[in-house]
Amino acid sequence: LGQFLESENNKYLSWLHDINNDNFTQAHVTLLDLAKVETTFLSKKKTLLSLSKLTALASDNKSPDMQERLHDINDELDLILHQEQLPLDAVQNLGMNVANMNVMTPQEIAELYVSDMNVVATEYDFKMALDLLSYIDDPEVDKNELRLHIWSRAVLRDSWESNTTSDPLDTNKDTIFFKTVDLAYTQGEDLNECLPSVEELLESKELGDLRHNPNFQFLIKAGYEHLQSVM
Amino acid sequence: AASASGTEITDEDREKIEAIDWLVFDPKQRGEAVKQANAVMRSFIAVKKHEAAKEVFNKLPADTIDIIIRQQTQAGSEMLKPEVENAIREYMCIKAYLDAVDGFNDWFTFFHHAKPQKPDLTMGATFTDKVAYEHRIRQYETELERWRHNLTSQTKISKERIYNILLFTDGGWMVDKATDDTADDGRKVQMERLRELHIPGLCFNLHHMLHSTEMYADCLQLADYIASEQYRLYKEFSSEDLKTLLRHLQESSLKLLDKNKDPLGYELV
Repeated sequence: LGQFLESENNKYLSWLHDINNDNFTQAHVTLLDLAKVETTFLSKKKTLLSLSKLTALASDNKSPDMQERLHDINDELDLILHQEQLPLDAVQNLGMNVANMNVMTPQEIAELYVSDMNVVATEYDFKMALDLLSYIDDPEVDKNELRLHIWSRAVLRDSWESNTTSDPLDTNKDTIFFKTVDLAYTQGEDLNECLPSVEELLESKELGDLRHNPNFQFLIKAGYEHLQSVM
Repeated sequence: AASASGTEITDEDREKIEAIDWLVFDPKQRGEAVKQANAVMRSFIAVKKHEAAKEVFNKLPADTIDIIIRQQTQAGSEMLKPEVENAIREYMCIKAYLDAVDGFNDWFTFFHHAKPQKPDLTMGATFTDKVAYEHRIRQYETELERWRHNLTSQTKISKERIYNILLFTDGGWMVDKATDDTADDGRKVQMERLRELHIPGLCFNLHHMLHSTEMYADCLQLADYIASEQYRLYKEFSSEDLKTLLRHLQESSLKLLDKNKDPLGYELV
């Protein structure tokens, strides 16, 4: 029976047998394998990870390998939490059912947080997208490019029109872009790392004609200069 | 899982309960009354003397919290003192707990004792016996349907009340929110002990209830909450408790397999 259950096709059952036989470490490993290949249902992946965590804790196995896997599980559960916290509207606009979401990659979740489908995005959504960068372990993904994309999306949320008489810092403080900068700063992020340079930002093709708008350039440069003084 | 245990109220308990009367006499002392009542209820809940704890709870007038907050505002202070804030939060935790215990006991009684009994047809029954039996069977089926309907709503209420404790807002059940430098360590230790003592038990009760009512997929989802770093419920489980829990969850999975679902209740592909 053990051998039959070990086969790839029957893995989805073998952990039940392992729990019944007090073989919690083996159940934990199998459940983690199953969670890793689950891409259809987010909630199913979550329960597989949760069960894998509980079997690990029940096993009394404190080996370094086990600690590392537990760490891995907590990261995966964290990522799931980021997806679960996606604004309801954004998920529905994508045509997904909140109660029945597919498993998304960190870059897909980040993309949804900053996309137009997230109609009422605030600085918290943009910060969330930036946080998601640390979960990406796909070597194909250029994280710097994605970071610049997130900040460019933040820029595009505002019109950057202002009357010339007002203080640029006053105008800036109501923009999503600088609100996100503020939030990242208060949360203790290193702005040198998480923010693109002013040159990089002004060259971002995504910004389209706005790049060449003198008013926009003036406001962004003034904002960055102000940041230099606090960074 | 067990129902309310036969924990009788002794004369000594009675004295502790009645001492609260002296404290609620003067509305100015309501803050102190809540603190003392909490301490007495904590000691009762630690030994599962739920009836005694409920009597203490009922000694505090319903407007107690309002009075405390009003006195604070009149004193010109916006913020409650940390010790008072913590006492109010603990009082809410105890209320949630007593409600959950009541809910579960009601469910338990309803599930185990209120189910209609199927009528028997004795051997060698006559024609008229059979006609009467047919009638009783129809009656039985109507009653059974009604019982199932009420069971569903009773289960829902009781499930919500237990989740109220497991997912208690802002840091968890019996966990202080305000930092209080004057706090006594004894209280803190007792509150931690109550979490260890009751959180696994409540999870087992919840599982028993969901499993008995054939809500097997919900049983498996219990693992999500227990393993979550947001609520950290797993920290209250000994490894023996965790093993017991996993065996219970395994039983629910086997039931799902019987229903041609996968072990977590999803359609088989």
